[in-house]
Amino acid sequence: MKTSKNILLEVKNVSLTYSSLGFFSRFKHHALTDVSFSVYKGETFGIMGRNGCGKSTLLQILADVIAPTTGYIETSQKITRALLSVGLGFNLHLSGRDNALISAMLQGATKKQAKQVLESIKEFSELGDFFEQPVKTYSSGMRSRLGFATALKTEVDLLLLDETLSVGDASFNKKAEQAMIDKFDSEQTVIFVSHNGEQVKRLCDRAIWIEKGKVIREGDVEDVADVYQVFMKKLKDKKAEERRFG
Amino acid sequence: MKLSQYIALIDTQARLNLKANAAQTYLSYLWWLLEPLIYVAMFYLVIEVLLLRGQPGFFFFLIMGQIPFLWFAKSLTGGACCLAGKRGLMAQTKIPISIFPFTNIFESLYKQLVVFVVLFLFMLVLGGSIIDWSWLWLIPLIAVNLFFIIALTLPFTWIVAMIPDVQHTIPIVTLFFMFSSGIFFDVNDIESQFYKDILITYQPLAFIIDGYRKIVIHNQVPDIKHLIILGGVFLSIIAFWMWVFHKTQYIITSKVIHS
Repeated sequence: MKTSKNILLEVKNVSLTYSSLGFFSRFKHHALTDVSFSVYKGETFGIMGRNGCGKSTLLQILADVIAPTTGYIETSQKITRALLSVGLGFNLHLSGRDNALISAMLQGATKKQAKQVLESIKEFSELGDFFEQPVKTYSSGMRSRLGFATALKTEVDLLLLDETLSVGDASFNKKAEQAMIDKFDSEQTVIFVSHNGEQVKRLCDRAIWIEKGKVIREGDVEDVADVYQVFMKKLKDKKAEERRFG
Repeated sequence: MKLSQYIALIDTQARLNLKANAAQTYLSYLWWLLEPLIYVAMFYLVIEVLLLRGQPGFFFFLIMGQIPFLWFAKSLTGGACCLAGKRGLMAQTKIPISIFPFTNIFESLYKQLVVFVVLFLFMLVLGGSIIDWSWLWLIPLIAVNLFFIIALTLPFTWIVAMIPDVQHTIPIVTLFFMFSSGIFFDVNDIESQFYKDILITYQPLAFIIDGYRKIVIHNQVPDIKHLIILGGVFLSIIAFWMWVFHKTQYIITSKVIHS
């Protein structure tokens, strides 16, 4: 039973506006508007929405990388968090091993702890000898495997996943999804972000749907995903119709 | 983040970056020595050979100024503009932003320590230098030199992140220091006592470079009181800018990610 006692974090009326640089031209963008929801300890929470709806910006705020313009995030305790998104943050000239070491340290591990998880990262990522090669020689799938394995093997209170499963090869995706389900079944709190409603439905307990920076629906994942998928289907049909007639 | 973890991250990243950079070239770590040597050879050729301006021992005088200056210039240039290249990482993980310029500075420091060892051996073997107890003052002098680099790089990193246009002024700043630090001339030869005092007192790099020459070429001790004052001032500036970085973490991250 989820009660207010085991809320891990509460997002309260979060908005984010940013403007572009330049004396001669100014562009203001409202990335998020008045977003509120709660995430419980140990649950898998989904955030769904189409590309450009503000999902990644929300993840950055949840990861405490950037601060909202208005509103705030309340946590019951000081929590460690890791945001896993594909291919970002790697030094392309360093080997997979060195990148994994730095990533684990950046996520809060000491050098000793980071070194201890390197072998399990190597094993899980299935990179073999490539683990010792520079990341610039990796395919995008290999990069995401390294990123996924590093985030998964480093212990954090809150794991933030950004559409990770859709980039590896099919067999790794299956393994990654299973590893995530295992993680989700444990005490790990996960926020999973995807444009794929079906995937969110499969992995999460509760979810929100974001459109143009606003929360359109919040609650049970089945209910939210159904409404979102109907919206996406209408959008797809409308585009197909536009293409046909115009 | 704990201080020990902060330092471990800077140290690990700096070492790994050096390893990665060395792996990208055929001559690998040899470039650490070749690069300053090529600079010095170029200046020697222009000043000593083509312009015939050199005095006896001018070459050794020149390298004792040029090599510390190159350390300063490369650290400032690399550190001040380092955040733009870290956009991906900054968008993903919350880490103290000052880690990035510090990593650049320590990368340069590790290289420079090797270059210094070779330079001092070179001065002992070929430059006619004699080692004595005054050489111990090289340790605090190098430390103050490092503090000066950090004290100048941190504000530039912050300002470049907030106003990217400022990066265009960095070559001008390094050029100013190149011509005003007594690399090609001896600050002690300036006729006007007033200007000489001004330069030694208020242009830290001129004092530091003069200090290297005093110790290695003349076996003299630099002005210790001035060295301590400089060290104190630089550490205060560093502490202030660390505080600024801490207080503006979200603002800088947002600026860098969305720029």
